[in-house]
This record gives sequence, C-alpha cells and structure tokens, in this order.
Amino acid sequence: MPVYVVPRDLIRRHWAGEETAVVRLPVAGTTHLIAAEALAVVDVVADHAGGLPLREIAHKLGLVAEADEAVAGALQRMIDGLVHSGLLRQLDDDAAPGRDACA
Amino acid sequence: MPLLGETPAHEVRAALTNKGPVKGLRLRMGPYVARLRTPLPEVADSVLALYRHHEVAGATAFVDFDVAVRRPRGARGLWRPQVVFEFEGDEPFNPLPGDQGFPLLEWGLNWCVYGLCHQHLTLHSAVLERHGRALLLPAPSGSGKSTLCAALVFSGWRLLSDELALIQPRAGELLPLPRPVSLKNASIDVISRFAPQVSFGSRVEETAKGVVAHFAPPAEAVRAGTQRAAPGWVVFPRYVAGAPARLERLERSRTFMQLIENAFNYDVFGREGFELLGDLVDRSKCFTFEYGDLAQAVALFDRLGRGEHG
Repeated sequence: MPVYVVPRDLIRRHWAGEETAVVRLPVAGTTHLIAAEALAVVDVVADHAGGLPLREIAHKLGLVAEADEAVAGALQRMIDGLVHSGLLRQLDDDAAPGRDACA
Repeated sequence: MPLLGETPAHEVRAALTNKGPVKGLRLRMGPYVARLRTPLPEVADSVLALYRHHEVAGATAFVDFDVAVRRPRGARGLWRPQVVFEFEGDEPFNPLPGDQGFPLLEWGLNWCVYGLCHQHLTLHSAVLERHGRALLLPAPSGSGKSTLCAALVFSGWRLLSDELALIQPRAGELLPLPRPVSLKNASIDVISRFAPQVSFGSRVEETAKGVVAHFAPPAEAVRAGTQRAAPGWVVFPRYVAGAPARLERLERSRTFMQLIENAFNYDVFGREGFELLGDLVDRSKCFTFEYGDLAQAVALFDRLGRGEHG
C-alpha cells in the first residue's frame, strides 16, 4: 500500500471560513489554489514525517474509508490530484516509510 | 530640492538636451531617480507640463534609470519620423511613430520599474490611499481601472500610482510612485466631463493602445511621495456598460491567486513573495467590482473609504 508524504518546505495558507487555500511548492516555486478539503489532507499528511497510507489518512480525517467505497474512491482521487500537482509525494510499497519522506 | 515647475524652462531644456552644465534631467519619482534626456522639443514640453510637481534631484544624486527618447540613428525614419527609447545605451523596444515620444517615455519608465527593480514586489495595479490605507485596483488593460483611478484622484483619494503597486518587503506597505496618469480613448472624454479642472497634455493618436493622453498627478500626491500606506482594500474592477455599481466579497485565497496573475516579479521573491502577498490579502478587504457609471462608483468607494463595507 503506497504511503504519502508532503514535500519539504511546502507552505500553505488558509483563511478561516474560506472554501479554498493557497499552497506553494518549494522547488518548483509554483503556487496552487486548492479546496479546503484537499488542504485538510495535506495538513494531516504533513503532521507525519514518515508518511501515511490512504487508510490512515481517512482515519485521521474521520472518514470510514474501508466501510464506504465511495468515500475511499473520492479520497483516492483527491490524493491522486495532489500527487499529480506535486503537493503530495507517493512512496512505493517497498520504500521504507520515511526514507524519502520530506525530501 | 527644487520642483521642476519652479526651475526655469530653459535650464530644463538645456539639461534634457545635454547642452547645459548638467547632463540630463534627474527627476525624483517615488523611491527612484530617473535621468531623462531628449532632443525632442515636444517631449520636453510634456515633461515640463506633466512632471511640474516633481523634485529635481541634485547633479550628484544616484540615478536608478538613465533613459532617453530620441530619433533613431542612421537613415531609419527619414521618410516617416520615429522615436526610440534608450536605456543606458540600449534600445529595448522597436521604434514608434514620431509623435509618440512622451507615451514611449512613460511606457519605458514603467518597464524600468517592473522589469528591473526587484527590491519591491511589483503588481500591475493602480494604488490610491485614504486615511492611511491603500486601495489596490489590479486589472488588465480595458477593465476600466485607469478611468476609475482617475475619477478617485479627483474625489479625495491620494494617488500612489495609476499603474504599478510597489510592495515593500517585510513591512508589506505600499510605496508611492506618483507619475503622470495615462488615459486612453473614451476615458479621456469621460474624465474631462467628470473633472473639468483636469488638464491633459498632448493627445497622441494611433498608438498601439489607441488615443493616449496624460494628466499631471496632483501636487499633494507628489509631495507625499515618501508616505507609505498600509494595505486596506484589494478591488478587481470591471467596467460593464449600464451595470449598477456592485462590490462583491472575494475569498482571500482567490484574491491571492489573482494578485499573482497581476504580479511582475512574484517568482523572483520565492517564499518571501508568498508570505508578502499572503500578508497583503490578510490585511485587506477583498472584492470584485462591476460598474457602469463613474459617479456611482466614486460614491461607493467613498463609503468603502469610510469603512461602510464590512
């Protein structure tokens, strides 16, 4: 099961009550507008330097992903989008957790 | 420092043409000093009229931009007069038709600021001030930004700039850069009706932007050229014919992204640019604004300046 980590020095800003937030990727220097829900995923993963798998992310967000395929699917798509834009990194199964984290 | 308008015109012309004891005219423009040179009498006339409230810097003042507007060298333009903008000996732009010398000088000076000066985060935005708070009007050409800015200048708002917002790193305050205000096409007549006291310089026809005319920034705005303003409002204006004046709240994160689109050197600042823009929107009330009537728009901004819009 892949593990997700947040790139080192990723910075983010969210204003209370807003539906979106801004995030800056350190190396690419790009700034992204993301949904507050996506930011919640980034925040949860950022709190765990060793990375988190999907199941753990869902658990920490209070979602019961295993029991609800639709929830799991939606969360996976959100994570895939974050990985695609570089805001999360996906580590393969055989990567030791934390080995590449925050790189 | 003497003001340009208090300096004998023949001395100014001599400096501009390099024929006097002082080579070039050193003018203080907000945080910068530009050294101007031109052999073209019509450009000298416009400089004299439209920069009359600006300080003439001393002959030993450090020069940030050394610029000239002149005819092209060689046979170019013999049949059809042209003008070129020169920056420290280089010609960064193609020549323009001969009557566009002053607009070219202004566009060139804008380029010097947004293209070369990275000590400030620079946005494409008009900036005005009331009660120490800055109003930013970032918008592309054709949005009605300059018309609105000009109307506010004649309605009690202090002009910091009609074109460029300079954000000071760390403090995050807006620096004034008061220079002649440029209007285009129908806006020239709109402002002539709105503020009959306005005195435009020469109208220049058939520029790439259509008809262009400038008016001098108010003397008090130039005098206050070192008084910074704290962020107060960010408003993205859009002129829509016939539309009632309407402000709508804009999320700060979306404001942030739109400011990036209007920034010239956000990338240069890296992480600091992110923090700086974040602090700017944090300290500002952020809106989109549609208007079709200038008087309505000014009345609404008057209320905004008094703190009546949340």
